[in-house]
Amino acid sequence: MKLIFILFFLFALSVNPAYSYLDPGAGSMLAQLIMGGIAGLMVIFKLYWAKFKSIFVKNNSSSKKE
Amino acid sequence: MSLLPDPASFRDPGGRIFKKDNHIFRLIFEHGAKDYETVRDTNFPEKMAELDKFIKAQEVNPEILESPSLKPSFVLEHPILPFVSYPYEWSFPMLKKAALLHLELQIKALEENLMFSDASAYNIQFKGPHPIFIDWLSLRPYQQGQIWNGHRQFCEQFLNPLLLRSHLGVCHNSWFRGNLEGIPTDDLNKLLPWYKKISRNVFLHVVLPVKMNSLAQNENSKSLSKLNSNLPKASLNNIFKNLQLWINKLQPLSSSSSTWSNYDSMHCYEQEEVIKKQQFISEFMKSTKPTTVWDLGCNKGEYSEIALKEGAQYVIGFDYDQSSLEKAFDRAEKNNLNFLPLFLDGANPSPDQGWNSQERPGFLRRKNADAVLALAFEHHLAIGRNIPLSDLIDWITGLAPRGVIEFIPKKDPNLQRMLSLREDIFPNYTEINFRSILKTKCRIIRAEIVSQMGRTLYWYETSKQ
Repeated sequence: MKLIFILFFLFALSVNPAYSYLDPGAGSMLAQLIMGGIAGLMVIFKLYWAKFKSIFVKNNSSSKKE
Repeated sequence: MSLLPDPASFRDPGGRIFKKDNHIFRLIFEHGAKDYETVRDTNFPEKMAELDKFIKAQEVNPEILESPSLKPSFVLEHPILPFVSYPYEWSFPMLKKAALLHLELQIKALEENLMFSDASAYNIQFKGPHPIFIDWLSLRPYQQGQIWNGHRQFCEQFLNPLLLRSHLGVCHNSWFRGNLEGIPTDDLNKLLPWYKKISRNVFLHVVLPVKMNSLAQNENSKSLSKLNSNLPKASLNNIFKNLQLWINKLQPLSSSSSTWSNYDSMHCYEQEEVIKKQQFISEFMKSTKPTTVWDLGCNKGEYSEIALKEGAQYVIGFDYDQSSLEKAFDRAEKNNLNFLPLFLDGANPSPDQGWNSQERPGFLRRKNADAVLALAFEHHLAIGRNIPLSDLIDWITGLAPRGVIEFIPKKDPNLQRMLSLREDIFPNYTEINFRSILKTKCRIIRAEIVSQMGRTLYWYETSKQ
């Protein structure tokens, strides 16, 4: 229950469902949103990891100077 | 002959396939007209047809149909395919190739802001070893943020059958045929052991949709319809690309030799006997020049290839052994042959299936051979499956007006092996009996003993066409 609401808020931009005579399956729909979400999360994670590493680089160079 | 609707084309109100005489028309109705125009004007389908990835299509004047009651907005004419086959008749490499084609087309289409509205494996047919996409109407304009509506169908009809083989070693054919719509993800999820679910891809495409589905079951329909999607185009593209990379690496689980893929080494021929058999087939082909040959028990396609070299235009191969079929397909691909090897259990061929038992016509209904080859085949049914000899000969000779049948005598080592563990209940299984039954049903143009043990080839012709 909770997960549905989290997803609903995370992906709140409304888009009309595209044309299809086919039943996409609710499970498949949600899984794709998570896959897309994971990709988004990976990008964010990589950015933060780069930032995190850069802190140590600065420290090293500053310690060398001293 | 009048214009008849194709019994498998009825789900999409945007259009329908009709057949008239020897022509195939796709009628596009008002419901699908606007989207069709948008898609057509991108030139994408035309480009794909030139690359032989889409079936060719030509817009024709609706008046050509001579059917005033139908008022299509557009009419396309498609060429007729040499043979229609279904995913439950394909071997593993064929299904894999079809899956990769589908994904390749999705990726290319997305670049033109187009999407396929479904992911049915029945929308792909084979011309020899080459898969070709046939449903022009499946393409629609892509809407920003939309999810992949065909994902569930893609998994059930392409991915899961492949995984059934690659992860569990079970061939998809019987299960797919039984269900017609593929292998349900829920079923596959129940079959996979926990340690096969740790992989990211299995988790995302098998486990996750099942778990999400049961979550969704508990929600009422009102909140579900309010759940709007926003899947960025780049993420959608990534889903296609990752599936492509994954499926490209899939292989059947145990590639160890099967019973009949080692047939070459096991067979009972001396070199000169092989030559005799090859010559017999060559002369048959040169003389009859068949358009379409059905090669029953094609094994690795050795004689199918000879048939094509010596005058046949197109060969459909049938075999029961998966490993042989895979090698036959490999041969067709490597040598670019007009050869389509399909899975067939002679004692249980594909039946009429689907809606009204007409949607997917069975094996016999798709009969189109001018000639049939049944080499080292009849004993599998006569002895292996206890099919009465007379019924069997009826069945084989009923498939085409002429052909070559090989009779395997009891003293042949292969048959000895088959009978070694069972009671010999076949007193009437003799060469004399075989020949006399064959004579009552057709003319024997030529007969020749090709092996020391007495294997005999018969070239038959029936008077009926």
